[in-house]
Amino acid sequence: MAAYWRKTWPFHLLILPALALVIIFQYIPLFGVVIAFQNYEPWLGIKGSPWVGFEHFRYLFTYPDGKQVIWNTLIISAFKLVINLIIPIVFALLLNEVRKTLFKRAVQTFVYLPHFLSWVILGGIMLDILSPEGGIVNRVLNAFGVDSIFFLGDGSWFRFTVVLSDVWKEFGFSAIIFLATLVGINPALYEAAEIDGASRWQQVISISIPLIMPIVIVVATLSLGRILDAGFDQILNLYNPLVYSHGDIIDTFVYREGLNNGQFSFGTAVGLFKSFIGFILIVISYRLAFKLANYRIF
Amino acid sequence: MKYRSRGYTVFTFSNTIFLTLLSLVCVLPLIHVLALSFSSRAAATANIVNFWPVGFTTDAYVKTLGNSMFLKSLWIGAERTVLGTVLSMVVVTMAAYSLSKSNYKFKGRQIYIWVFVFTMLFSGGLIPSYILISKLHLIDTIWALVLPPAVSVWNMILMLNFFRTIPEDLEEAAFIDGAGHLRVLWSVYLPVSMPSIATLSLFTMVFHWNSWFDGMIYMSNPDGYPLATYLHSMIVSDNLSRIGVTLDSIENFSNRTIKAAQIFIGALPILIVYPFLQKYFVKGIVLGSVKS
Amino acid sequence: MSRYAKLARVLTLSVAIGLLPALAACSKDSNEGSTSKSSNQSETGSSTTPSTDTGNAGELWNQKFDPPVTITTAIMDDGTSRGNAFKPGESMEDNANIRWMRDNMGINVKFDFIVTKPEDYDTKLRLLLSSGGKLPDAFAASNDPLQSLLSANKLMPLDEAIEKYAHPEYKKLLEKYSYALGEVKKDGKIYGLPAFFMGDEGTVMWIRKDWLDNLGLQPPKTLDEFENVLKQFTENDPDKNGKNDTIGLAVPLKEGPWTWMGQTDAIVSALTDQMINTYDVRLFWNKGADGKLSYGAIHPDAKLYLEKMRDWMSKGYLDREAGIKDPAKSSELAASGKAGIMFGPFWMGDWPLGDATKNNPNADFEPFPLPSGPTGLAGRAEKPLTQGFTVFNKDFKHIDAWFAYFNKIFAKKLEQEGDPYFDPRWKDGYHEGYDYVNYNGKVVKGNYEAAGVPAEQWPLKDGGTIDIRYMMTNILGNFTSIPGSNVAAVKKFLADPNAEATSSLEFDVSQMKKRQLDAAGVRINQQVNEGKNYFTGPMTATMKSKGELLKKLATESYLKIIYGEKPIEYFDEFVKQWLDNGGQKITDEVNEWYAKNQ
Repeated sequence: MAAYWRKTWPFHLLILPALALVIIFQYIPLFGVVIAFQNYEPWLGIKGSPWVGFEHFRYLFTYPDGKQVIWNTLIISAFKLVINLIIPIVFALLLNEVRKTLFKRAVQTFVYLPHFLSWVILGGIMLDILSPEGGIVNRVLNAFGVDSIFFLGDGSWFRFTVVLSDVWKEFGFSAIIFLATLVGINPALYEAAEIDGASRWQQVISISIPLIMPIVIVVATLSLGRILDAGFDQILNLYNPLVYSHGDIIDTFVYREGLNNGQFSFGTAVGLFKSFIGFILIVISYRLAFKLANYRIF
Repeated sequence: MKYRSRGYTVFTFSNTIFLTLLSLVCVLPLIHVLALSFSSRAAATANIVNFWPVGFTTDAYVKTLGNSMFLKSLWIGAERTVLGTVLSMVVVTMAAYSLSKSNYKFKGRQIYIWVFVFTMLFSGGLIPSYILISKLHLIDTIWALVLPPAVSVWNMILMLNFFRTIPEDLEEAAFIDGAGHLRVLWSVYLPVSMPSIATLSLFTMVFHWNSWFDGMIYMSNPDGYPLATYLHSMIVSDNLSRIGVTLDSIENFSNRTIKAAQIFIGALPILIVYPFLQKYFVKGIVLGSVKS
Repeated sequence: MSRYAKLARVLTLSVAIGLLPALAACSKDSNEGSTSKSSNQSETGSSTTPSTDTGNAGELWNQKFDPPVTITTAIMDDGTSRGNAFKPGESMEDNANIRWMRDNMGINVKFDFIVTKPEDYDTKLRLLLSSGGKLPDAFAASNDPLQSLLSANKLMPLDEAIEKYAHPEYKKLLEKYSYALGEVKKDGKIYGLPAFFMGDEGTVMWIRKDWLDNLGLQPPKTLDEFENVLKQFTENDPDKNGKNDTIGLAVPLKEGPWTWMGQTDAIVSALTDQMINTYDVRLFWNKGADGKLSYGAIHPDAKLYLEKMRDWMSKGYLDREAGIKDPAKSSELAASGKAGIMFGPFWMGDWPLGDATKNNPNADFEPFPLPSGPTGLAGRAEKPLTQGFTVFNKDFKHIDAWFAYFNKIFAKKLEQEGDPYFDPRWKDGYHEGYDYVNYNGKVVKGNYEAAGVPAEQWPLKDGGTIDIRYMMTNILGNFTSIPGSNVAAVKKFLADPNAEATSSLEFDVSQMKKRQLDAAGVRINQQVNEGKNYFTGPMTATMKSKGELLKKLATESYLKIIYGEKPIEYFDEFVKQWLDNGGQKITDEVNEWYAKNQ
């Protein structure tokens, strides 16, 4: 026992600040999650608010559009997850091949700028360029003989538009992690492969990709934790009654209900539900990665 | 560079073209926003601005910057960003170091890990957090903005993974020389992890700089607003049914040029700092002679 | 108790009351602060006489509270974003008015919290209460937080205070608009003071006069003529640029038929006397012939509206993207010269429609009276009268001080001759150097540069006017207007654009841009049916639980029909769904409320 502490006390000590902060600022407020099971009123306080059990969860599921809203969330989120992983990786790999540092830095800078545009402004811009009445995108489509598409007003195109625009906005920023990883790969490895006669393509396949895989898995797993998020800010600024059926997600639904009722309880209940699902997914991924690849994500 | 095959040259050429186009697609909307910020209100209302200002005016910038609150909030925003980032990176890096050790070397780390990961997903919500901050008397202080988000588990996990890629030999060498864990962390791990540290610092900085909601709820007075909250407050409601309409409120109402100017003012500091961090994940540092 | 004891009590009481005026006449000092019987006496020490009684009526405006009282409040919009709310160095918490109130009235103002937007206000209020803080003394509240506060019994009933302290004209106002107080009425008592809108935002019809002229058309007086104008604007190149790039009507349908700009209530009213809205389950409840209230959006007459809109949409007269645009976005078409007609309030004359002229000097949007329908109907919707209420903490001890301040502001708005509440120190304006400047013996309230006032005396560096409301609102919670009070001023300036402004109200009106003034005139002069919302009560239980769903259902359904995705017959199916999903229950609840509140 003493031997254990003698060996590991530096580790515990180094973790201590983070642990303390987390206990204070995350675990203590966690007790407040109990309002998900109440009809919380600020002036009654947590102790005084009436208990309603799983009422709010039931509400989310039995609400006439509840299931549709959950489904929308899952679909949009799943697509975003996958594409928001693939595109940044591909981009990072492509950018990594660039030799001229100046060009590389320039591209990298430009490409991550969209991250700084808020959806409030982007919403307006998208409305313009995607307009079926003379918006740029449709004009190009028309030139190719394709009829105008009402991207933001047609349910069947809405999700596509949402996912694509989100990828466009974030891929530059997301790629940074992968770039950082790629850049940390020992060049000696490439040289060795070169000597063995491997083409660049083969080098990428056998060195670059395998070596960023761990990080990819980590990022993917962590993203799974937010599977039920789907991008509230974006959807709020892009959606409208014409596409509710395809675009209304859990968070926008909760938001509108909250405007009506100011129900913190309902919002907390939904948040709890989302956390729960996300957590399960992370645990599953973690186990899978360990069992299949003997890789501990964390 | 030895690979000068025809195939590779073609690839390089098309790659360059492709990346250039991609950059353009990403930059054009920003140019539009920049042009909008220098346009007249009338042009913005009619939405006739493309990539060049229409009815050039610096009005939007004057309005945003000229407000004395702006400078104050700029300072507060910078303060919280610096404090928040430094604190977060220090705390997270230390913990990541310990957690990057194997289960064998550090029994019990699993427990810590799950303790941290759990908080990444579950939270009590707005009200309990607010009550806590209030009871700790942190309302109206910079610490309300800096302490709660300090432990970014996301960053911790990424950092931990980066640490794991550091070859053990480097560590061993230092231990043999008699260094303790802290020295090893400082002189071996850190220099070699600059890409990840730069990356995560950037993420943390951007998070703090753009974070407006906590500024709004934890400051009881706009005097204490960080920049992001101040900029957010400049956007007058798009919905006029709640506020009384008067003639002068119409003047300032929903002025898109102001929103556009905000984007730039808000992004500028990050853009300035960015190149200094960028070099770390564009070029990287050679690790020395070790196998993978 | 025994009859004699009772009698003795009554006698003693009457004598005491009878002596009061005499006592009042005697106490000459400025300590006029009243302590009503219910408030505690420890704060003010010696009890003093009520000041709303007879006696010193002439001093009603000169109340000073000694020792000073502190009133706490919260601010929902501190004007940060406007840039013209405060002088540099001053703020909501420290400005000329705060100091004035402290020095001249003995009122210290403290702010429990300040936010800059109404959206943040509710959040802050709930958070403050969650953390166990005490409510501010006087603050603004509306909708859901208001109802919660009411049901939690945290608010002070105001009937007594109003009776005792309020300005007589205000009492009359409350009487007149008592139907708008539904949200703050409980158990026969009033719990909040309404903040009235001016009520001058009724819809008018804005049309490109130059396009009418280009095509040789007359302004449409009937709905058929209107449709023809739409058609011509869409098909006959009204801007004469050789391109087919114009449409008739700029309209936002993202929030249904009724919204704050570009709304189509005029079209609805030309077809039916029912008023329709889909975006809020509390609007519009119309009274039927049987005296019962019914929801406008499900009334069979709505089909007439839907048919027309659907027809126009299919012919391309309407903005094809109306369903995804909010009012501001949809106005872009008008401002950029792509649409020729837009409905909305008078102020549109400056923004957004004035911008059309700035972009193209030929563009001229003029306001016109609303067209009448096939059966001669014409009208618009009446906008809700109040923007919220000011409520008071149940434990607030100094409501008299609050009213002292309120009455002053109210009196200044009234500007009645001989009003005992009118503070003569505010004769020229609230504070010198802020909302007015004394220059060369004249009182200048705006356009300082043009009036020759030297730059050092300008309230703001750029010569603009300070929006004094922000400084003055503090404990009032909301800045209330007197409904309909600017009608006379509008008429005056319409008749003579160069007339002198003789009061603050007139000055404000004189600041209107020409087109805005014209529009105000058009609205006033066209006497039409104003569709009223008969339900002014708080949200009913089912409204809370199903309101969101119904709003989504209604708006979606309307758009589907207008866009032609569903046939007009789908309307009946929609009505059935609406009723089944809580609509019927809500209708019953509404009528229950209505029956009780007659």
